[in-house]
Amino acid sequence: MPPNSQTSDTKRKTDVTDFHVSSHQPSRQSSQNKRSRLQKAKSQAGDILVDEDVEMDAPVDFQEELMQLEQTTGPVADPSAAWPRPTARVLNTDVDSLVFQQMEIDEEYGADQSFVTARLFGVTEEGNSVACFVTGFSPYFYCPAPQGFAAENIPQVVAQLNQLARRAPGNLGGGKHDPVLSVELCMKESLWGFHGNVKAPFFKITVRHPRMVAPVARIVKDGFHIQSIGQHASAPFESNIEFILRFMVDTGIVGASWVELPAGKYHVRKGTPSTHCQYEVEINYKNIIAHEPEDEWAKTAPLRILSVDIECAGRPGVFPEAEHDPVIQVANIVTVQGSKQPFIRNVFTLDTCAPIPGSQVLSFQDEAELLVKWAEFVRECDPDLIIGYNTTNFDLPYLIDRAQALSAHDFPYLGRMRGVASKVSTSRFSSKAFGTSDSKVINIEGRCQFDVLQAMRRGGFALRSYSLNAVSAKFLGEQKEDVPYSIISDLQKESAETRRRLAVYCLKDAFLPQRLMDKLMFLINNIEMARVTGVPFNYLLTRGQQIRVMCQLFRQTIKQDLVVPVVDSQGDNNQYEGATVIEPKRGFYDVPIATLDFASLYPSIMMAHNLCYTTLLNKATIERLSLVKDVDYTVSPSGDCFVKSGRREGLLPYILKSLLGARKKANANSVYGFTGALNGKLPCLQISSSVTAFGRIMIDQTMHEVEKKYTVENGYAHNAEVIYGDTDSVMVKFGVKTLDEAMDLGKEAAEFVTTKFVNPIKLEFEKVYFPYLLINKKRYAGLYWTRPEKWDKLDTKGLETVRRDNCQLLPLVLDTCLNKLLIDRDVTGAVEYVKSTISDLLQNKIDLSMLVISKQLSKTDYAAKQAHVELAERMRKRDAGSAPQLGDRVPYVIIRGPKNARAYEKAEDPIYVLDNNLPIDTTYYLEHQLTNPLTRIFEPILGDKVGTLFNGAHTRTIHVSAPTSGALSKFMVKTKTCLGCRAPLRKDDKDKAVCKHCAPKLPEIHMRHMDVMREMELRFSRLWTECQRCQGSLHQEVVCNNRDCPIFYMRRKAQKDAEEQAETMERFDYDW
Amino acid sequence: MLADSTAQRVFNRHSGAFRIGHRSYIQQFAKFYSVRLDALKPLVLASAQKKWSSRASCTAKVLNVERSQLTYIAGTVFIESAGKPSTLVTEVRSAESQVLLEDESGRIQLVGKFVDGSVFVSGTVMAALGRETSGGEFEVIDVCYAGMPPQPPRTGNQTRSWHSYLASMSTSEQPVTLEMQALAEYLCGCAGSSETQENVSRIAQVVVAGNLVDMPPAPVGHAEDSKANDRAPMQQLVGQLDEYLADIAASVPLTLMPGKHDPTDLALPQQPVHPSMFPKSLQYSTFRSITNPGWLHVDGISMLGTGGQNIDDIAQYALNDVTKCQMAAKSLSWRHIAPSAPDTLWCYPFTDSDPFILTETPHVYFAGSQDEFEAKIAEGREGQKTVVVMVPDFSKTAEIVLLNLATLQCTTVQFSVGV
Repeated sequence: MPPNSQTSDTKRKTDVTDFHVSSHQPSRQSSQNKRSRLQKAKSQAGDILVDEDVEMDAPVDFQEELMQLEQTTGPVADPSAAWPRPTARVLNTDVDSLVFQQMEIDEEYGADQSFVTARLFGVTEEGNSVACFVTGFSPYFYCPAPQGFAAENIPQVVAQLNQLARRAPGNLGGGKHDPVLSVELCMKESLWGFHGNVKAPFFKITVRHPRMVAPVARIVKDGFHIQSIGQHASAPFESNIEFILRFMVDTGIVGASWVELPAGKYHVRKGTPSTHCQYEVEINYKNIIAHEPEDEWAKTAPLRILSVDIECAGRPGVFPEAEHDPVIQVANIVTVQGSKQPFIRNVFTLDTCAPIPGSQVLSFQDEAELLVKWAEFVRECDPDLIIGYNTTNFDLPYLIDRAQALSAHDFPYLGRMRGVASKVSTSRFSSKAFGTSDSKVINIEGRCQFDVLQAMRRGGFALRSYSLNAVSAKFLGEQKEDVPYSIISDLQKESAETRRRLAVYCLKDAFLPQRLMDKLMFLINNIEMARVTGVPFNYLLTRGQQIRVMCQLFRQTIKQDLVVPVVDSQGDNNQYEGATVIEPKRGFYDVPIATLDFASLYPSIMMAHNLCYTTLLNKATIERLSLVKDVDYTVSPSGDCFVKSGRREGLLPYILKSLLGARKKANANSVYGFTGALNGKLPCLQISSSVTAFGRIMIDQTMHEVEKKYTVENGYAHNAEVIYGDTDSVMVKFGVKTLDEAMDLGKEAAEFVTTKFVNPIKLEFEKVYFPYLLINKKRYAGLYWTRPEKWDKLDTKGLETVRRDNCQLLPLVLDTCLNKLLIDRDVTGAVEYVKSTISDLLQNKIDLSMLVISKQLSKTDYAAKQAHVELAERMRKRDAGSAPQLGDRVPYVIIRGPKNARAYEKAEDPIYVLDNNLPIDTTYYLEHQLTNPLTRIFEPILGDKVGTLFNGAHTRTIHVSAPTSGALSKFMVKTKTCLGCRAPLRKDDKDKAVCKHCAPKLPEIHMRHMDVMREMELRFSRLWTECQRCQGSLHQEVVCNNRDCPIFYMRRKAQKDAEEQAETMERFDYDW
Repeated sequence: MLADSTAQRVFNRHSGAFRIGHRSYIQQFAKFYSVRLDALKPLVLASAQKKWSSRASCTAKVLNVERSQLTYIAGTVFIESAGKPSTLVTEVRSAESQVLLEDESGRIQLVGKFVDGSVFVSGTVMAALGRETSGGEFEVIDVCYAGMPPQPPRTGNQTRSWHSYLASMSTSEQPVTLEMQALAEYLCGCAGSSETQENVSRIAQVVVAGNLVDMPPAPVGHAEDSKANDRAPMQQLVGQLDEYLADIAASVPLTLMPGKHDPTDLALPQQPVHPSMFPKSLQYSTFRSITNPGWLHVDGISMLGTGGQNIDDIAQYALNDVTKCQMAAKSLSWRHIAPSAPDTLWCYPFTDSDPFILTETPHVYFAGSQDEFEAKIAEGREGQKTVVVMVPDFSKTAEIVLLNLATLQCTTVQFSVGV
């Protein structure tokens, strides 16, 4: 200790300077006015801050602003004035052409089904709506004509066909009109097989009505009499293409494209309008100009998008049913494509609703009136697209069903055709790429329906959940408050204020789909997709991949005089030999592994080897045309033969080239799928199995070429080794230690191997994995590098990360381990982490939300008892109101049960578990959730020692919480124990916190308990304030029921833990 | 001998203001905001009426505003910003902030030039004059707060007394630093010139304004585990500090207020540090351990002090900031000393009343653990006058603040120790 003299009370500042330490700059409020400056001058204390509310006189700039405000204040405009479209100028059809972007095409039938008209709905660049009726186009199909058929016999064929058709079941045409309009003889070639480029005679049979195609085709197939030839039966061609596609293919119109009606070639319809569009015009199909969606015509019209959300007041415990439960609010957001802000925001409410700034509130006392006025609003604002979240299967059908239940007969006219009611029907949609699902179908003529939920599901995002909550969290970075159904009814009943709260919520939900659509560029991308694949816009969400390929095929065949055969569906998909996999050499590679990928392998194989329907050969043709193997044709590794492109260029390779040119890789791959889909429109196994066979051989060949060239013998430092290969890539260990070397060798090898293959097949070097953990076929993880300076990402395949029937602890642990192993390269750290997590799990320290598993409660009766079904039943018995409904996801955790209890008996509602302190079956989570996936990633590294992860000292401490309810809890007596050593307290100490022995350590013990309290205080505050922020309100209680949000369980737990710890802390509060 | 608790109560009539008593955590924070709004809104509206009633009328609820009508509304300010602590979002998103005014009907966004240039703090209760825009926002041209509460007159004779503040004295490694030793000698009148000793003899009260110790944080999830969270060294350290404080308390009255890093609650109001930690100091009736925030009454002067967390948090999350001292002065006219609680400043979920609402204007308002000394006088419209003092962190500056109770002027004293 230094002597006192070294201490000095230095620097006794004077009073004045001390008071001037702070800035002399006038503060904002004092600069605004003179008075505060004056006061400052008067003050002796120096820097004075004046209470700003002393100022009773408004500051100068305030006066100015006030005047400005008062000047600009005008009468309030009626928000409904914004609803209609801009006025349409009068067309002079002799001078003005009419140009518009069509978004929806359908058909209508004339009186007596005597003719068909195609209808195009769209918008001009000025934002005016157009309904264009295209006349003169009739459906047709082809069939081979007999050899030697004379054209003068055509009238006889027409008569014969009509005669047979009239006798056919269904009495086509009602007897008034002949079904067959015309038969032409033309020279065509079947798409199927190579015929030496020789055309053959075909009948083109045109019928009156799309529904007449199939029956007449059947007649042709069964055979009919032809003069001087006799009975003629032949396979129909192209009789299975839908009328709208036929029309679009023949007129060259692709989906969502611009069309032009040239001046003088169209006319404006007279008389009572039949649509709600501003222009109603008619044109013959021959005169319509289809603009290729390029350059100037790549633009998008100012489409109007209505985003809608409804609220229903359900009864407790029952999902709303249109028969019984009223629609209480409908919120609408209308945006013009391309503008950032909506121009209409309104909400239709049942009963009064307090005003909402920025939104129009339309209140109704009568629900039927609300619905009818809403339908009027839709017709008036005339949207081109109606979007929402689950609108197809919920909001729109509910509105229609509800209107019917209320006999609101003026309601269901939502489309652009006057007098055509929208109806709900159900369809089953089945697609290899998108799965099978039942879906509602609603006809709203002239407007596209774009359900953002369906677009999400098709977006290939692989999310754990597609709820609007989960999706908003993921893509907009915000959790969404989830107001429980029961509260909705309460809010509706209470007052105009509570209904406003509901309306604000409803408006937010109506806005989210629009924001998602903008953020993910759904509209722009889908317009682009419709244009590239040629299908109508609405097919993208309602139809599968095949129809897109089919459509592109037809657009090519028509140019080459090819006709497409009708192939009957061959039922279920048979498995043919799939892609090859080079047996993985499992292990943990701490050296760079170069990956060589074939770019668009299957499309490029089809292009390289000219694989197509049109090039397919059979033995007979080869012999007939004396074709020479490898000169005229290729034999694929599966034994199928295809002529080379010198003889005939295949159609599929041509389509693929244009798709790859437009960077539509996914569509290019679906062409291969189209040829392999046995239940599809035109399966051709010779093509699809040839493609995969070529692929297998190429992978093998790549392996051999690489391993042959990169050897010590050839002067390289190491022998290269292919450690794994799958479908279109091979992983090569060149043996080098650095990324630079591996990348150089990778590039070189890719170029070298490419030279061994037919153009355009190209092997590319894309990335190096370093390090690389190869677990099994299609299961691996690696750090992904495309340049040596910095890794790009951690890449994993086939590991349990997104599956929802796992608890969230698993992906968290896996991700953390992989990060530690591959990024930090810290094996010890990863092992320690796993051990401490397991230790935390067994000691009940893992957050409950991490342990929640969820499964959907679906309609089907399960044969075997399932945990979530049983639980839902138990919950229903406890409280029917809050129990999960059909279609809901049932979240549960596995709790300890009696010995030999079945797994399904041990599932329990997480909230119930929290409230009653039920013990978690931590061993279940260890053994059934963690052990296998963790073993898989650690085995290649630890080998036999992998078992030590799950056994050992860290698994010995087990903490089981004592239930506060249930059979066991009754037998438990709580004795007070010392907060230091947990020994039971003796009589004379029983009011104290610690025992005699621990008394000297009281401060230390108190600090530790206070540390726990501090943690609880922090968690409580953080979680509940975050929920307040998310729900957008400080003064309303948080009622959110969003179980997808991890905070949902945490915040409940935080309440309980804080409450318990506060009780413990009170034990320290005895008299001192 | 233990301190006489009855005497304490008489001495400090606000001692109960920040005591929590029996705690419950089944409630949320909504009630806390409601009681704050209910208490302050009538006062804010009264101020607003005086200020604006000649030009505009009041709209009772924020969502009831009507387009194009000049009006004023009152509610709780909330700043929406991505930079706030979150359990869910780890990466910080765009730092764009919005100012909203909320009451029980909902919230409305405040916009306009005025908003861009003014200081706003979440949780304050405020009135705004302006009108609704076509986009449903509220264009603000002026705002007003409740203003400083009434101030009781000073009592007693303060001519000879000084008051001294300290803050954040210790670190966890070095219990009693040389500077602290020097300070103790100074306070006991054993150091400096005779003039200094004369001044020191007039010290009426010494206050440790938070962070006596700097307790290292406990490992998350393992605080209870005596191996993972060994607090024995802290007990030893606190023992040494107890002796140190007892030495001072033997000469001058000493008040200990906890701060962010002291071994008591994390959330405000922090309760007094547990008495088991200061057995030696507690033997002196001159030693008192109080809450943070806490009130003191010295020689007829009322003082309100905090450990500094409230000011730090306001400064961290405010929109358009000014100096911390100015913030503290402003908070007097907001009539609220911790508006950002509970949003970003952790606090107990009160339901019956909001203890952070100011019901009387103190003569002195101080905040501890600040980076540097700063002092100002805040004046209210009814002649209220408060000295606002930012007390520097002693462990960083080795400075203490001396307040002359007669003149309410501040000085700092710095201790430098040569080696």
